[in-house]
Amino acid sequence: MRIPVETLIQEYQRNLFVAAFNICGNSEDAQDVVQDTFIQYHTSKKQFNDKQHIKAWLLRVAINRAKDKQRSFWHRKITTLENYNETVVFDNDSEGELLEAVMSLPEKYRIVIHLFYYEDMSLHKISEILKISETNAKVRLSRGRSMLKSMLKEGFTND
Amino acid sequence: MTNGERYKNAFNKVAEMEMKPINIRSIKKKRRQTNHFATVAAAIICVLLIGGTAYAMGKYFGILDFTSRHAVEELPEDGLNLIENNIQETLVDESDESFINCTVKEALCDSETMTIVFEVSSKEKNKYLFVPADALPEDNMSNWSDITEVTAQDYANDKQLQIVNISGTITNDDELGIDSQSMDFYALDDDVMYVYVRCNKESSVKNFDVSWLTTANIYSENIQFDDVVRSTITFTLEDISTLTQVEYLPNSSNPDMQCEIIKAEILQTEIGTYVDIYYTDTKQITNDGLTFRLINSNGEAYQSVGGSGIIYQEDGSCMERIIMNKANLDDTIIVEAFNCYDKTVYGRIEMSIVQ
Repeated sequence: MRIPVETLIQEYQRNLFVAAFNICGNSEDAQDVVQDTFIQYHTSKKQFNDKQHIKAWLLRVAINRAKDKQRSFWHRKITTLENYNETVVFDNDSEGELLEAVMSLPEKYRIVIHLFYYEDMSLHKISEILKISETNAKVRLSRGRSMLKSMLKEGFTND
Repeated sequence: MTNGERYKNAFNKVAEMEMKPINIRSIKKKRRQTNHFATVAAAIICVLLIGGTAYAMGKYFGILDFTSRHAVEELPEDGLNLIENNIQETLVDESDESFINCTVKEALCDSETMTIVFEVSSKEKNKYLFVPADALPEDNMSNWSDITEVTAQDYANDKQLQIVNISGTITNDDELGIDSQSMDFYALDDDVMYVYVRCNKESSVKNFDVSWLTTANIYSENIQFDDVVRSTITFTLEDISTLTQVEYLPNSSNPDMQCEIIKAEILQTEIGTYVDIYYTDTKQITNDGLTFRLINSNGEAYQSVGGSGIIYQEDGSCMERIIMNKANLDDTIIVEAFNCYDKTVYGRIEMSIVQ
């Protein structure tokens, strides 16, 4: 099955943007990643089983593109997280602290934490998207949580 | 409030403040900017040195013509013999209303990379002006052809042609282990476009099938899925390169490196040198920009033509691939760790080949 790209932009632009932001750490690169991901879908003739299959594919493409961009020698923009904490108004301090703490994690923990808490994905699904073993995904989630616990005033429970 | 709710609220706030609406037109603009960064400077030189010659001789625009456009990429002499130019493709599917033909003109592959040039031509002559996927009517024709000082729109109006965006993709990318495909375009005639595709691949089989989808659409600001004409061809490529693999180990450790180098595995083919550096991210700074380069005997860095980014290993260590033009490395090499953001050099380490 295929879904028109305009529909996918409506439904998944935010998911792709925050996943890319999680890796790139700045909105300009994240925006580029989202656009490139939809272009790849648009020009591809790949058939999908269902909507969840499309979403998983888009996320995987976006994550890979964000990683490429992060390491690219040609295209590198740096915006410190402090700048975001100045411009983004959070409902309470703990959300800002959480964002800062998450973004300070090593990338390999950060993206697993993101897929688990933002996308509500199972460890099995995360391992499929990141092409790592389920055990590895579990270890990364556990280490990421431990690091967040030590960084956050309010702690970080395992819910 | 659960962690999940806090997490979603925090990132949704960033999205609300920072995410911009997108449409197909803005996607094209972004793509255009990225492409031009790599090719626009070379395009003018190419007009003078290559484009005119190739066209005058009635030849196609091949891999060497494209690599000559990219100042950082020069194909080594012994890689020339690996270029295949007699590849038989099979048309497996096309839209009913398709007005394009696509053929494979050249391919060059080794165990690690694949470069292919396709020729996309119109079934009906003197009707269309082919432009790259990311080109807009206001773009200058010199960006993808030997025609200068005129925009695509003016040129098309003058010759009463319809502007058609040409693009394509390797569709069995998962099967071949391809993460991303970089592309370039060059037109030798109004309706004949050459598409250059280069990608890294993980599949190391010697013979492999490639499925290529060409897309074409008459330019529109609001292109819909059904407006795109598609044509899929398949063909088989053979990796006839010779692969050698050696391993280097550190002679000593250097705490200034900010990481512990475990080993370097170096793959070499007629086309390139692929340096896989395995290391332990002891200070957890990989994501702060830690990266590597090889230093030659004159103390200068070898030019990198690409890289993999960080690849995490099952045991928790990291690997980063540096791709270079083919280089003859000594039995002892120097690896330098540096920060790719601010260019701070952390330190160097000497490594010796394992006999």
